Amino acid sequence: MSGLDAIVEEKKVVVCIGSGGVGKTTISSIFALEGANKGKKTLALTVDPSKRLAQSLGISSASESAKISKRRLKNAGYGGSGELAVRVLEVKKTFDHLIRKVARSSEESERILQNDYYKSIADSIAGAHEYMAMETLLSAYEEGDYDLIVVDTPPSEHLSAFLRAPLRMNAILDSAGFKSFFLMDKLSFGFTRVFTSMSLKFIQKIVGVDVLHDMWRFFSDFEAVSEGIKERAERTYELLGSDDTCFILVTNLKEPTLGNTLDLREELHSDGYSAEAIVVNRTVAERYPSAVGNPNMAKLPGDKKLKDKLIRNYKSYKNVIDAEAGILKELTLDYKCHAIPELSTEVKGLKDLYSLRKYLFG
Amino acid sequence: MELSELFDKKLIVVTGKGGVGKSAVSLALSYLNSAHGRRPVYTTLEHVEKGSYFFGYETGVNEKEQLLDDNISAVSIQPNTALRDYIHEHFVALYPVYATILKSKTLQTFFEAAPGLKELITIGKVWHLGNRGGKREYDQVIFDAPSTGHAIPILNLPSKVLGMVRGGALREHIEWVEGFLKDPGKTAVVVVAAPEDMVVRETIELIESVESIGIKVLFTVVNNVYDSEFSKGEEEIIRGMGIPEEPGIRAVIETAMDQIGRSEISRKYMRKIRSVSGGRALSIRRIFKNNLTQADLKNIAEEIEEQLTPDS
Repeated sequence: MSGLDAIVEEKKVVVCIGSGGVGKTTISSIFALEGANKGKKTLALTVDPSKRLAQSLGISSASESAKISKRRLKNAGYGGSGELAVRVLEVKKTFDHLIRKVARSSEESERILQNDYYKSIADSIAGAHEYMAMETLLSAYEEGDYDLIVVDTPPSEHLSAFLRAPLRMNAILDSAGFKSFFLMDKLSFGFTRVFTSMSLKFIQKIVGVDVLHDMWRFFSDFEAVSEGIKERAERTYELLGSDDTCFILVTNLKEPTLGNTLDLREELHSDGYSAEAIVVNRTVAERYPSAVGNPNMAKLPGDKKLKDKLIRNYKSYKNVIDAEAGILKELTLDYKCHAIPELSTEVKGLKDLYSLRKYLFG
Repeated sequence: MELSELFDKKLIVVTGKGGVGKSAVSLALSYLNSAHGRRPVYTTLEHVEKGSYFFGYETGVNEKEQLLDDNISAVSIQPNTALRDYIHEHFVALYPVYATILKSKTLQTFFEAAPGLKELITIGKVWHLGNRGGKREYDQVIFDAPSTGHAIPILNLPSKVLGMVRGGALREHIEWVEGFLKDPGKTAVVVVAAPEDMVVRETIELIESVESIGIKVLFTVVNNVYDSEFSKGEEEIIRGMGIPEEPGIRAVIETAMDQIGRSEISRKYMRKIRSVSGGRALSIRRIFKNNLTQADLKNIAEEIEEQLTPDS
C-alpha cells in the first residue's frame, strides 16, 4: 500500500492546495473518487469560484450539490460500495446561513441580513470567500454524513491567502477599533456624536456618510453574532490541525510554481499542519520513461526528410523530459513525491481520472 | 486585427485561467511595444523576489519602477502603499495629521472592510502609471492581472460599489475608474488561454463576463498551441509503426504521436475560441522548455506581431 492509500483510508479531511493551473481540480477529483472506490461515503467540496471540480466530475455547474451515480462510477472502473457527492461553495448563501445559525434570535439575524452594506458587499470583504469555504467544510464535517471530505481550494501562491483569511476577516469583524466606535456611540447618545472623532471624520470624507452609516449599523449588529462566528472559526482551525486532516500539495516542475509549492510546505509545517505528500502533476518525463540516449536513425521509418522531422520533434520533447527528470530526482531526495504523467489525451471524464489513479494509489 | 488597435490603448489588462502564461504574454506584449520604439510598463500585483527565477531577469519586480530590459519598465503595486499614496495626493494639506491616524488600528481595519476601497485604489494606481503618474512617461501600461476568479470581481467592483456609495471621495474615485475602464479607446482586456478543455470553458465564460461588464476584449491569445510539422502522409507512416520494441525508437514514435494528437486537439480548440471571440484569437506555439527565457518572450512577441499584421 502506498502512502496515499493510507491517507484515503485513515483521514477524514483531505485538502488539496497549490498555485493556479497545476491541476488541483484533477487531483482532488482523483482523491474523492478513490474515497468512493475504497467504500467510503465521500464528499468532494469545491470552493473554487469557477466550479471546475463539478464540471470535471461531469456535473452541471448550475447545481449546488449533486451525487455521482453508482452506475457512472462502475462504468469508469470504480468498484466498492462507496458514494460520491459533490458540493459547490456559494459564498453569500453560506454567510447568510452562518449568521442565522449563530444569532440568538431571528430579529438579530434579520437586522444583519437586511443591512445594505452586508447585502452588497459582505461577500467581497477580504477573506470572505475563504472564510465561507472553511465554514462549508466545518458544517459538512459536523453533519457527520461523510467518512471523507476532499476539498479543492482556490489557487493560492501563499498560505496566508487561503488559510489565514478567516483570521484576517475575524480581525476585521472583531476589531477592537470598531468596538470602540460603538462604545463611543453609546456614551455619546447617538450616531452623530461619533463624528467628533478625528478618524471618523476622515473616513466620512472618503466614503461619505451613507456608507459609513450602513457599515456602522452592520458592525454594531454584527457584535451580537461575532462571538459565535469566532468560535466556529476556531473549531475549523482545530479540525484543519487535527490528525483527521491532511494537506496534499499539488505542483508542476516549472518556476515559480515549484518554488511556491516548497514555500507553502514550509509554511504549513511551521504552522503545525500535516503536509507529507507532494503530487507533481502533468510531468512529461514520467510519460516517456524510454526516452533515454540517442535513437538509432537507421531504424526510423520514412525518408531522410521524415527522419529529420522525427528527430527534431523527439529532441524538443527530450529537452523537457531531461529538465524534468533532473528536477524530480533532486526533489525526491528531500520530499515524498508522487509524479503523474501528462496524458496524451485530455482528462475529461471519470474514465480518464480512473486511468490516473494508479500513480497515486495501489 | 492590427497592431495599431493594440498600441492606441493606454491600458491593457491581461487575464485568464491560472497557469496559462499570463506573465509571459504580458511581457511579450511589453517587448512588442519596445520593438516599435515605445515605452511600456509591465505592472503586476505580485512581488517577484530578487534572485527568484522570473524569465531570467535578475532584478525581480518590486514597488520601485525599474528597467527590466531595453525600454521596458516593471513595477509591482502593493495595495497598502497605493492607499497611502492616494491619501497623500488627495488630502495633501492634512497629510501630516492623517499620517498619524493612518497608523491607528481602527483605520487599518476600516480600510480592510470598506467596500472595494483597496481594489479601487489599486486599479486607479495602475491607470495612473500610464498617465504621467509614473517615474517616466509611458506609452502603455501592461497589467498582468490576477487570474479569472479574482480578476472579474476587481473589474466589476466599480459598478457594484457605485450602487451603495452615494458621496465622499470614494465615489469620485469610482466614477473616475469606471470612466477609463469602460472607455474602449483607452482600456482593453487581453485574455490568455490554452488549448485544453477546462481552460477553454473558463475562457468562454471569462470573455462573456468581461464584455457584460462593458469592458472591451481586444483579443484572446491561445498559448501552448501544438503545431505538428508532419504531413498527412507522414502521419500515416508514423501510425503504421505501432509500438516499436526498441526503447529509443519507441520514444521517438511515441513523442511524434503525442505531437500529432495534441496538434489535432489544439486545432479543435483554436476553432472554438475563434468562433466565440469573433475571430479575434491569436495562437502561440508550445515552447519545449521547462522555464522560458527573455529570448523566448521576444519570440512570442514576434509571433503576436505576425498575426497582427494583415496580409498584404
